[in-house]
Amino acid sequence: MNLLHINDLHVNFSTKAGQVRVLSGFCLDIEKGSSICLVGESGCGKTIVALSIMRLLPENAQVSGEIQFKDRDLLILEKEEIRQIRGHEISMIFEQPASCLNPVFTVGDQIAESVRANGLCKKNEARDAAIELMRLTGIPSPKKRFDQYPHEFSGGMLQRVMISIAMASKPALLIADEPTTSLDVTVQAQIVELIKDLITKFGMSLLLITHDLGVAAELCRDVAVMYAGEIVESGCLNEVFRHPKHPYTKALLRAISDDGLRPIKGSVPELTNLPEGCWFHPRCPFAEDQCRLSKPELKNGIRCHLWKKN
Amino acid sequence: MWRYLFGRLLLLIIVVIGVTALTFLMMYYTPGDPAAIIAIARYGGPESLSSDLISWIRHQEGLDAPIYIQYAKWLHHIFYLDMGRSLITDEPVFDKIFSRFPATLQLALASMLIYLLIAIPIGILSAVKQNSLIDYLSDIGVLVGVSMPSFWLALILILFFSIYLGWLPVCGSQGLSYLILPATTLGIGIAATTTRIVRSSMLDVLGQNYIRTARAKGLKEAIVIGKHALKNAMIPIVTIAGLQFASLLEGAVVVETIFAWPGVGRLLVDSINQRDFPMIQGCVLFIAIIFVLANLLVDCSYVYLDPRVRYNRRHQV
Repeated sequence: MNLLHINDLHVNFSTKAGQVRVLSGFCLDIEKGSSICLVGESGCGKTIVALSIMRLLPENAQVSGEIQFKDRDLLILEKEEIRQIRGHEISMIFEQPASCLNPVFTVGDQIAESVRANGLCKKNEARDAAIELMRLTGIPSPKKRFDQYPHEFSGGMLQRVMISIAMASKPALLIADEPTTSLDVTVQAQIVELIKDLITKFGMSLLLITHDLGVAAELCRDVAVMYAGEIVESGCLNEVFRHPKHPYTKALLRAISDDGLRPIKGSVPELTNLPEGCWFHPRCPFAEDQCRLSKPELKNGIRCHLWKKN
Repeated sequence: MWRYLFGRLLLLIIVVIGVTALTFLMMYYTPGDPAAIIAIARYGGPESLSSDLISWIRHQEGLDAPIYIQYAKWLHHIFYLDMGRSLITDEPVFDKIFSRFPATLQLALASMLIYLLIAIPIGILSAVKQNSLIDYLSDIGVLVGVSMPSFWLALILILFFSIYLGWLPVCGSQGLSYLILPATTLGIGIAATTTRIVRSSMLDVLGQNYIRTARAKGLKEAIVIGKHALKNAMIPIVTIAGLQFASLLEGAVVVETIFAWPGVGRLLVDSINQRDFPMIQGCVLFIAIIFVLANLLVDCSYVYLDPRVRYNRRHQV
């Protein structure tokens, strides 16, 4: 059974320049206990998916479609109901942990708050629970660290704090938005290892958002490749990475292949000014006439007119 | 920390010397001969004054010495808390100011309270409901508030609440009800700009990532705003509140005069009118000290509000 079922999700932002479509007809399923990764270049709408699930999009966003989580449509829940799901059944960690923690409260207070927020324990027990969480995420001498402020922590330790906050209620789904991007390479590996341990230990599902294909391969079973607010290819991660079908996936993988960097020519189209036909065709080396004229549908996990030919 | 406090005390001395030297200089060049004023106060009307008497008094009081000698003498006496005596009533300046101080303190605290009760809630509300009707109304309110001079606002408030409705006394200081109008006048006057600063400070904080984290944790919106956002937004708010305290002392001069409130501000105005030089010097000195102390308080509050300041202090020394 699916834990999370996203169907036909559309997100528009109303800006001064008019309506901007950032997600169009996005669909995704996450099974209980599975792990899936959204990959793609910056600005392709990965984070928007995560924020839509958490209902944390800014007020100028218009969202339509459905996001079923445990048979409830998150998009139509009352504010109070979605608040009880946040941090309780679905938790999220972000990139740049240093900016994600409140500078004027102690780290321990911010973890304990997350424990208390969902009525998981009494006020006096929250401290012990928070210290336990810090121990769980591998923060050394948690009792002493509890009373310190975020500026006294390193980036990697701050991400551990963020994970402690997210783990307060052992959620069914963990959303990790670029959890390692701002960290040193050696620390990245530790954080990846920690997330891996925790999802196995507590049987959580993971929605990972990254542009780091290495991190994706470490943590996830499935992958969905996004381009300009749409999925262009999805499937089992091993299969997709070994035998990519969509020209964009191929280019993405080749960009970091062993024999040097090979950037994809051009850049992601502006969302206000998408090309006719397939949105990738201006950058696609295989594009033919039909790619310029009609937009391909997502069929068998791939959105391309030509994949059978290639 | 001690080094810091010591530095601030040094600054206090520099500010006080600067301010009093400047007033001393201005008083020196202001029309009105202090020797003649003393003569009139002691020996009655102008007709009985001879130029001999005046020059005798001038010599007696050391007023014929060069200005820097006079100033140095005055400073020397300050060290013994001796601010001299009033030229008019011969009362000690120090005692006179301290008898007026409680009234000014009362007015200042009441105005601060009204000020914060207006600026903070309205500022927060218009930030949280950005671009809503509330936000626009507060914007108009701020414009009106900034444009109203305090003497005019005072008269309008008297006209409405005292004359038309008859709820509050026009002026005087016989009880708490006498405090309401002057404190409101002062409070509204300085609240307007601060409301806008609270709003922008709050908007800035609300866009921060840690607010998103707080929401993602499943905290109630009241806690997100009231705890996580407000404490961060308070840092610029406290700064501006400290500065506004200065304009409050400034405004007190006008407002105390209009409402016949027996504070230091009115004492200053009366002294200026009577050319009571030692009293003017005393009032200016007093207000300067209060101002520097208020700023010191603001600085100390950063230590409470922002742990990063605390940290730097600890590691500097």
